Amino acid sequence: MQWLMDCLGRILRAVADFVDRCLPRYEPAVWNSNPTVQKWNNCYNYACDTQTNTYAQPGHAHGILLNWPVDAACDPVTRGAIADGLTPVNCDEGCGCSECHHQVALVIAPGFDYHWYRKDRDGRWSHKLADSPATNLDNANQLITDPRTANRGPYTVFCGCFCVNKSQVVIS
Amino acid sequence: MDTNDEVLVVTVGVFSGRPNPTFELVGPAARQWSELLASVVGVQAADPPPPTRLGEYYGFQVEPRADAIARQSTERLVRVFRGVVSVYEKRHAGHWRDTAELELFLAQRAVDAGHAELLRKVAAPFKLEPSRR
Repeated sequence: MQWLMDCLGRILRAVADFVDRCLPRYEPAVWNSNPTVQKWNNCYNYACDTQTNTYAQPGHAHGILLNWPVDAACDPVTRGAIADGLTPVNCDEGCGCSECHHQVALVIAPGFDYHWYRKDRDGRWSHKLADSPATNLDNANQLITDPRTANRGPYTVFCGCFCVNKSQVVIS
Repeated sequence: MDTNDEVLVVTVGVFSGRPNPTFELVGPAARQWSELLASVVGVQAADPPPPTRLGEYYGFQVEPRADAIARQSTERLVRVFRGVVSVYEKRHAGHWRDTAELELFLAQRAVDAGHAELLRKVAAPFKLEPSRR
């Protein structure tokens, strides 16, 4: 029977690896160890797991120029993100495993700014505040298990979750 | 302006997603900055600055304007936050105590550049009055 258990264990691990293959790992050094990378990649870059070194803005790659501060609201930023290829999704349902997706979340400080979180392979969420280091802690220094309940300071409006398919999303 | 004068770009750290406001230090202000910085670097080592918090002021960045960067062999970036001056050259970082009040110097220039209301909004820890010219 041991051989059967070993075989089942290997199959389960392979299935788990397959499901996880598109989820970003929480590896802050990838974003923090090079000052140029840290400086020129913001929360949107980090959420999309794409280093453009251009301080990417939602929609910019597709001709949408957000107007600050009036566009610091869910609808304009969401429109930009959708134009870039992000797909809205129910946060509790997640992105599934049929395509190579990972999940991100958008929040807003009304009339001030926007911010993004991403869900990592370990099941927790992380983020990158502008040109600051990437972190998996919220404003209360707690690990982020759900961005809806994390301490987000003045970013009080939770707009929703999105799926990112890196092969289809283009940001700049 | 003297062609040898360095033009420095200062970025005010307040936003996460949208671009942060910037202003320039030129002429006497740039020279004063350089003198203050030289008086701090290498004097009193400090721990790295505290973590940044969403929605709060998170310091200033100072760097040569892009054309100056292109002329230099190494890119140099200075961050000033909560009494710590961090100097980045390529991948090396050094942290020094802000004994010359560089942060206050930059905050005053930010106010003069019209960013007082923004700094108040993000609870920047300074007394903020426009300087008399």
